[in-house]
Amino acid sequence: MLTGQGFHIVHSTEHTPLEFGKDVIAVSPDGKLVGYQLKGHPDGTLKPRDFDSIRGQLEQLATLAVAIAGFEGRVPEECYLVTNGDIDEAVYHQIQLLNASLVQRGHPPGKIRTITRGQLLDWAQSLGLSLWPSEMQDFGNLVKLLNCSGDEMFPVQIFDPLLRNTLNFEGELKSAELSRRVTSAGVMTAVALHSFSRQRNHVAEITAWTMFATYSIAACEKNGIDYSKHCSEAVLSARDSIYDLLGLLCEEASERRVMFEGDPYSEFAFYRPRLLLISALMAVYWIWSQGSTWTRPHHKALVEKLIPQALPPRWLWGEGAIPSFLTYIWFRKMVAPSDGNDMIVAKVLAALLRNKLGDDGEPLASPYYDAEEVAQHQYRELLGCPDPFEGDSFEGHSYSCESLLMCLVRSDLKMVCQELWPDFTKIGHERVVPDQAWQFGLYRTGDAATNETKMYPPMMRWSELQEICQESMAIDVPAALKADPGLLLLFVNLFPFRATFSAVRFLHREFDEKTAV
Amino acid sequence: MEIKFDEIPELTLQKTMAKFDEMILDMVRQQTGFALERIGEEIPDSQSVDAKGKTLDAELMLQVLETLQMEFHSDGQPHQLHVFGGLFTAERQKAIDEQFQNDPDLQIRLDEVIAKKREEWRAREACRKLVG
Repeated sequence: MLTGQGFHIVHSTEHTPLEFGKDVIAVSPDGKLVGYQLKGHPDGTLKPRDFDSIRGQLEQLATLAVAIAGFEGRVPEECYLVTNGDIDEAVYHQIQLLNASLVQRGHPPGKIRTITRGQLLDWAQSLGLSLWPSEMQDFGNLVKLLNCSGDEMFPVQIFDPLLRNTLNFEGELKSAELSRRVTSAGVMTAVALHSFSRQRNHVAEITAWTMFATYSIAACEKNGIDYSKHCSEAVLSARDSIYDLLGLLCEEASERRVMFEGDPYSEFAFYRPRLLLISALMAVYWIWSQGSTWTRPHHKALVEKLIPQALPPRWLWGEGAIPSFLTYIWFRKMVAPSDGNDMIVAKVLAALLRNKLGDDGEPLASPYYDAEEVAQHQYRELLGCPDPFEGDSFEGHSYSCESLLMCLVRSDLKMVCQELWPDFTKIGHERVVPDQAWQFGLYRTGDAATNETKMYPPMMRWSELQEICQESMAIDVPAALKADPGLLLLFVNLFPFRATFSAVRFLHREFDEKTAV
Repeated sequence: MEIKFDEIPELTLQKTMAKFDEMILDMVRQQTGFALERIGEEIPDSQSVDAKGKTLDAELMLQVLETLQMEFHSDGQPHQLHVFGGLFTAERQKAIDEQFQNDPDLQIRLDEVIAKKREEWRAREACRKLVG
């Protein structure tokens, strides 16, 4: 809501204890540093006895300097106690006394103010109809999300229509309306995550905020609206939340001896996919942090310890694992450069080609199927469930072999590529090209994309192949997403079917140590 | 599919299912016809044989095999041919099998065609190269 009013959020302690008393710190449109202390009292009233435990935090909020890069040494000029309930008269009196004491210490009068349920509702009302779903189907979807137990994978197929409708992808929007709707979508994302946040399901939260960011970017690009003016603030806030969540994931994973979740009897099917995904997310966390500053410097060593030096056997559960694998390899190339990393890519490509030619087990599923669906397929008879692959076939074509070969070509491994070339030319290379770049940011493009199958000629010149692999404009990726390669990297890890040949060529240019600019 | 008002009093589950079957078959016929038409448009002349109204026999089959580009497995066995259309009835295919079995000359010619196609396939595979 602050973002919607033109504030720039510079800090949110939702997930960190670093800023005593300061839950949110923002810069107002007129450049003031403003601190917020949040207290939940839904349907209740903040009584003097509650205030006793808050007083100290409020005083810290009003008097202590912040320790945020770019704002070091600055004390908030305005402070707010925010509650989603009401405030007792006696508490107002105590706040007045606290303000008087602050004046005596040289602070301006009325430094601590309040925001209560009424004002929050006013703000919500100013967002209008777009804040809450108005269609019955959307309302049903929001209820479904709120009814989730919170420990499952985030149901993106339910969240997708909610975001689509809130951001009005069916119609056209002017800049002011879009800004309002982006704020609404942000509030709705936080609400939709209620069950998942309570269960501390960080991967689900990361998934939802990533969707919010890419959908907001898509909405801007679709409507030809200046992203940096009307949308970037909200996306940056989401990005900060994602960064905090990656930090929490790092801490949680570090505390575990074995990275398992849920029922140990079903872990054999999910342990390896989860380990690979967590490794990739931690690699993204490392890459983001190295690109700016480690907010929690001790996490660097934790991440480097968490990500294994070698992937476990049988990690390749489907083509959906390839973006995580590449992220892992790019991380390894940065922390432990070695030719061995490229040779691992070569081995994976060789295995994938053999598999797709039907010479090595059942052909691996396309990236449109996640690890859960692959497990359902593998154990469908035991589970007595329908086969999620019904009507689909994966032999003879691949969505990721082109990208893997590109990595080898850019590493100048000509002899390795020559060896793999005969098998590479025998399969069809699938590409899904959205009709317009903004559609790339969505979970599904529907009919608004073209399915292309590229068959490479049996004989090709190395220089021709190099030329194809060198291209990295990624014209089918939204410009604002290309401007934030870290976010794009996270997006393709969570939505592997968006790791198109075009997107991976761009990401490789950004993150592979041999070709990074 | 059409259900007339007059039919309703006499309808049973079986009759309704038969109507659905009729509709599904009709849809499949139309879709298949459309798909074959599109495939037909894309097939180059070098891969086409005109049966000129003849029924399928061993000679025509040899002509088809000589014309088509054939693919083989790595152990040298040809990929199974999938046939479709009115020319390829089960009776005619059985008759052709018998023709090849009963006429050693035809069998020799068939083996020669397959051997030639295998060599062509090997030559093609040997050309899968990244050069320069």
